[in-house]
Amino acid sequence: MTSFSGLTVIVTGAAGAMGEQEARMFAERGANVVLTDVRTDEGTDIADDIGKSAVFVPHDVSSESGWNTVIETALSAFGSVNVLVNNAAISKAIKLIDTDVDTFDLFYRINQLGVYLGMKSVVEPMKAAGGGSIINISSVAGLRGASTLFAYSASKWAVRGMTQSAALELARFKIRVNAVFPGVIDTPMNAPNPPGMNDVLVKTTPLRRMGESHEVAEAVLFLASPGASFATGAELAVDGGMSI
Amino acid sequence: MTSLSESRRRFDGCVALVTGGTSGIGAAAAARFAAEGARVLITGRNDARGAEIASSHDNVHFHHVDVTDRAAIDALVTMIGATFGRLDVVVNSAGVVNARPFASMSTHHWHEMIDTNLTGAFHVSQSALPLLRSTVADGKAPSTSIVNLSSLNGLRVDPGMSAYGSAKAALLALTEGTAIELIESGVRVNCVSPGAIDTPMSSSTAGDKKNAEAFTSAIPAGRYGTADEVAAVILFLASQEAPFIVGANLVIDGGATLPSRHPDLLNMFNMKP
Ligand SMILES: NC(=O)c1ccc[n+]([C@@H]2O[C@H](COP(=O)([O-])OP(=O)(O)OC[C@H]3O[C@@H](n4cnc5c(N)ncnc54)[C@H](O)[C@@H]3O)[C@@H](O)[C@H]2O)c1
Repeated sequence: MTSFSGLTVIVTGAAGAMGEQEARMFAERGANVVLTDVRTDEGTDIADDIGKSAVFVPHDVSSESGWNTVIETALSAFGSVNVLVNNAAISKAIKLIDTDVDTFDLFYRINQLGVYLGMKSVVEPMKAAGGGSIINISSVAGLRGASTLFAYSASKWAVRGMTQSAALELARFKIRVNAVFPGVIDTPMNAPNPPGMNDVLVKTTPLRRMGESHEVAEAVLFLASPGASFATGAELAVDGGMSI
Repeated sequence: MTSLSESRRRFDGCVALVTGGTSGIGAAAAARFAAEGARVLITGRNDARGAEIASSHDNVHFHHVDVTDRAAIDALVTMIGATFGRLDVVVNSAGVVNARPFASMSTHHWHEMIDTNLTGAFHVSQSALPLLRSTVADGKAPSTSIVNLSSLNGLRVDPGMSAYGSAKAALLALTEGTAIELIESGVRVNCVSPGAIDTPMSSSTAGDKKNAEAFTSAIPAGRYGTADEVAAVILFLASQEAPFIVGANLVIDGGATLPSRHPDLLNMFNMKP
């Protein structure tokens, strides 16, 4: 088993389905994990359940000062920052014509600004550690247009672009930056979709099923592992073939 | 070689066929499959190297097969079916590369690039398909997998690489087309596109040392990758850790395909690797 022993991993949105899975799997493979989310009760429970190798930090990814707290907590609890998974995001099916400026701005702040602040915050600690690995969670909606996810899709394309630019800029510090593009994954994020929408999404997935959170998490862990040591700026779709 | 010591055995009981397994990335993948428990068949055209690699690993067997020879491939697949009764992984790693200016390129060169790099993968994948399918249908594996090796040149073609790049770009199309058709029967097809990797193939094109330095400076990671680093990616995609990954292309190039890489620009912002 790939060992992350001795490494510290920050996972944002770790009270959510995929984030929780990622935090647990990193911890199972030896890492110390810093879980962050706006959902304090759920996040605290998950960190408690993982045990001594986990801490939870209440954190809104769009807050710059919040990121300072996350980094300080990681350093004081575990001494380093080696991996960042920018997983937190919001999603909602809204068309362009129904998207108002406040809604668009909210998607921008959480899904885009949050990822930028996360990457910026870890540069110094990762440099101090001699390198690191950042994994940004985009979406199939960041590879293709999405007719009913206008603001979400815009923010996820931004994640894709920021991943490429950051990969170029940070390579010289041995910080690898890669992105994962989940397809339709069976998590609470898809629960509020309008009736019938999930069936249609499954029909447009060649594998004819939703993915599981752990299937995305395996890809995230792989990109963080030594096996991916020459991967930077790479884009990995975990989507049952949906983006073909 | 980077130390990637992993004590996993994700391929216990599995059978893997690696074309072009006598050299470079194919050989590194074969070694990793064997180390993780698979019985591995490598093919190639160089008997001496094939014998050497087979003798240095348990469970790696060499067969002299040219991927442009359909009858030889069919015979090998028949043998695999009869001997092992299953086939879990096909890695299409056989490839040849030569730089030629387009204006003076011979028809022979064009065919050589297309026949080995593209048509070879077609022959091997199609020949192996019934066995890949029956391995799933018989309940021996939840899914089986084909991993094609394209190239950075399949995405962004260098001068002199129009024939090679054409073959490798088409291999991406073959990956997508087969991925979508074969997933119904549980065969996952994915692709890996390596950039500059330190193998016998790359040294044949990089040429002298000065040339090699120019190559390296165009890689954000500041170095060539190793064959073993690509092999690790192949194994991940082929493993049961990647069941929802279908038709993907994973670029392993130390960032070389990213835009805005002009060295002068990097100097201007004090951003040399
Ligand atoms: N579920 C899918 O089908 C799917 C598909 C493609 C991409 N994704 C992406 O995968 C990632 C995880 O999604 P999920 O399915 O686990 O969703 P989820 O809703 O279960 O989890 C997201 C988590 O992010 C947290 N969060 C939201 N706003 C935040 C903020 N401002 N600061 C900190 N945390 C915040 C939420 O509280 C939640 O716990 C997201 O980036 C999502 O866009 C999901």
